[in-house]
Amino acid sequence: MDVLASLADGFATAFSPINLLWVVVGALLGTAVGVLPGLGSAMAVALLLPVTYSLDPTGAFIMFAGIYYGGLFGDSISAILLNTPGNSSAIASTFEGHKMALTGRAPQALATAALGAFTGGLLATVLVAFLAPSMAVLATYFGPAEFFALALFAFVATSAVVADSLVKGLASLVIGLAVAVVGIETQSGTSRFTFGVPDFLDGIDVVVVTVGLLALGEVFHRASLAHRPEAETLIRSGGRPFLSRGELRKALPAWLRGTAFGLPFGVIPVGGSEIPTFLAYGNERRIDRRSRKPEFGQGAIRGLAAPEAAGNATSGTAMGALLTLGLPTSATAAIMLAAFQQFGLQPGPLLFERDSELAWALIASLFVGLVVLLVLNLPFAPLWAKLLLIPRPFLYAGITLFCVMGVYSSSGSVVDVVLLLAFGLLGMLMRRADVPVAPVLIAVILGPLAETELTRTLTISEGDPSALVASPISIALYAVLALTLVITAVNRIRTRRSIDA
Amino acid sequence: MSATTAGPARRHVDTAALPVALVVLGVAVVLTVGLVTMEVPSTANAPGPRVFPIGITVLAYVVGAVLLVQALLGRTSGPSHPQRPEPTHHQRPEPVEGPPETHDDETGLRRAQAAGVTEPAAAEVEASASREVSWPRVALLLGLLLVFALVLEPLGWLLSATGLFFGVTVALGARPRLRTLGIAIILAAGIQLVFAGLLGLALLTGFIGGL
Repeated sequence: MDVLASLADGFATAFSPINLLWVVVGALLGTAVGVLPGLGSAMAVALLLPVTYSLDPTGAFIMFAGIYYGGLFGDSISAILLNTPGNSSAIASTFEGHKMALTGRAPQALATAALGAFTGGLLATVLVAFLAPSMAVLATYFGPAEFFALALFAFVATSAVVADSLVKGLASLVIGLAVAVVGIETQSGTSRFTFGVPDFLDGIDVVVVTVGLLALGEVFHRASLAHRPEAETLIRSGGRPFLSRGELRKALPAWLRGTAFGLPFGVIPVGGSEIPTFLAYGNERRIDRRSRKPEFGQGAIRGLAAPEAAGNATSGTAMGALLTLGLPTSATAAIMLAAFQQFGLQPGPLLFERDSELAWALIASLFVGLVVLLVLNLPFAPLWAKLLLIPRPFLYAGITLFCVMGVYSSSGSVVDVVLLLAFGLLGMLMRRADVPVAPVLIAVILGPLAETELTRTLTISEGDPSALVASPISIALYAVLALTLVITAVNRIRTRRSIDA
Repeated sequence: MSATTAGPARRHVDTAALPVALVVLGVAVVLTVGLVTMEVPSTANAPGPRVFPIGITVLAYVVGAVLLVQALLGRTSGPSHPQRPEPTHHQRPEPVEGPPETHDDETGLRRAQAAGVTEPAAAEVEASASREVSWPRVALLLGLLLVFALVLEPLGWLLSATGLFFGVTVALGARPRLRTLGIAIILAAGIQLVFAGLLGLALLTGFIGGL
């Protein structure tokens, strides 16, 4: 009952008028950024991070809860109506979702996505609320060696799983790690790789890296192909934005199955919800093939419902992993971790002891955020789609403006603006080469943690590296890592085969 | 990935992967220089501030070298290139509607001839055509942002942001019109009002603020 009491306190905080306002504002802004072609939920959090600096931590995180889910739903809107997913997690939704829209069922597709996202997110958040305290207790058994193992897990799994080739994933990882070691090393006070630039002493801000790679990288990418004719067509989406009983009967089991696929992946650091969404999609497709009237390929409602629920379930439990272990399992969660650090908070087992009020308010506002999103999006999704009608030059010029504004206002340094440029260019090069961006972000954020824990382990053991694998927990973590690599390799091959042409 | 499986289809350098390989190797070199010139205080305990970066540097050389070799060996041209939705980002290759621009067409044709393939490789040619980069536009955008970074502090947010917005819209293919300039001013001023005024973020007022 402890959980319920804490949660009630959290709701009391979240329901104060000002905090409710922040959730709504966050959901609106997050959806707006998510809808924009090429920009996803990770970008929504990064781009809006500076906006929250003037709030108190609780208000800021409550707003983040709105942005987080808002960005995810925005991804789905552009995936369904424009066939351009904002994030890799929305790719699976485009297959049947866009076909539904093409056959004149765009509003129902949007409603399916919104309700699916709600179902997945709700179940995941309930799970997080009830399991977080015991997860946090479990995490207190983690020492430096175990945390190093976790970080290594995140590094290897993200680069191996997200990229289509291991080398490309590692290339991305190594760039991120290099960025992470710039600045003053905390243990000895040595200044590293600053090359005499005083701005580098504090390290390179993760906001600069994220905004540069994701948002400005997208603008550069667009500029590089700007001479190509526009082939995108936006589908009109007027009509009834709710589901008939027959549609509900088809969608509901798919939502639940999708959620079941999504839940476990939130705590495995394999780079977000791309895998569970594809697994959920593949599963629905297998079920569909056995039925008398196969619908896949013509806009099957289940083919959209399952990945949507899976995606949001993963995001929900990813939040749990972040809060209790301090471990980001996706790029979006990685930026949330950066946000915590900006406010001087360290997610992890101690968060529930030291800042339990904030932690529970955040969990409560995840619930509120979900409800707000459902209310905002079920009727207004077609309005959001209007954002896609902004002429591309204006859209991308606007994004550019927000990028430089965000970066400059958070640091007040022109050096950061130049760095932003460099990362924008890098983002474009990486995009052209199919090199994933998520490992960079994970590495920038977890790099310092990995180094600190490694140093601690080696200091305690007086230089004996066998201390890294001395405890059962770290051995288990390395074993799970090996297993994850094998499973994901097999799954990727399967997923590749199961996409409808 | 060996030469024997490629058969008669010739390889061409993977121009998309090459820059990334060079960036990774560049990172490795910069890390090496930094490691050599690093001044470690004598009070530092073992393992010291060098160990972790050394590991990264070694990894960077290895990954960079492998990527470079892969890029130089190139992608094989042939119809068997597996099509998969790009995993990391956001755009799947868009279907080309209407006549593609002549620039692409020529390049594609040349590539097709160079690769010694004609009909079956059409998809591959199209895929590589969509990878063609309009470098002048990229350079223009880069220049605009550099100028913005230089003039931001002396001119202030309002003027530099207006210029940046206007410049980027034109660079991305909009016609330079007075209306665009108007939108630019409104947007720049709006951001200033909302973020500096309401949320209290620091944006420079520049010399206008001093008037």
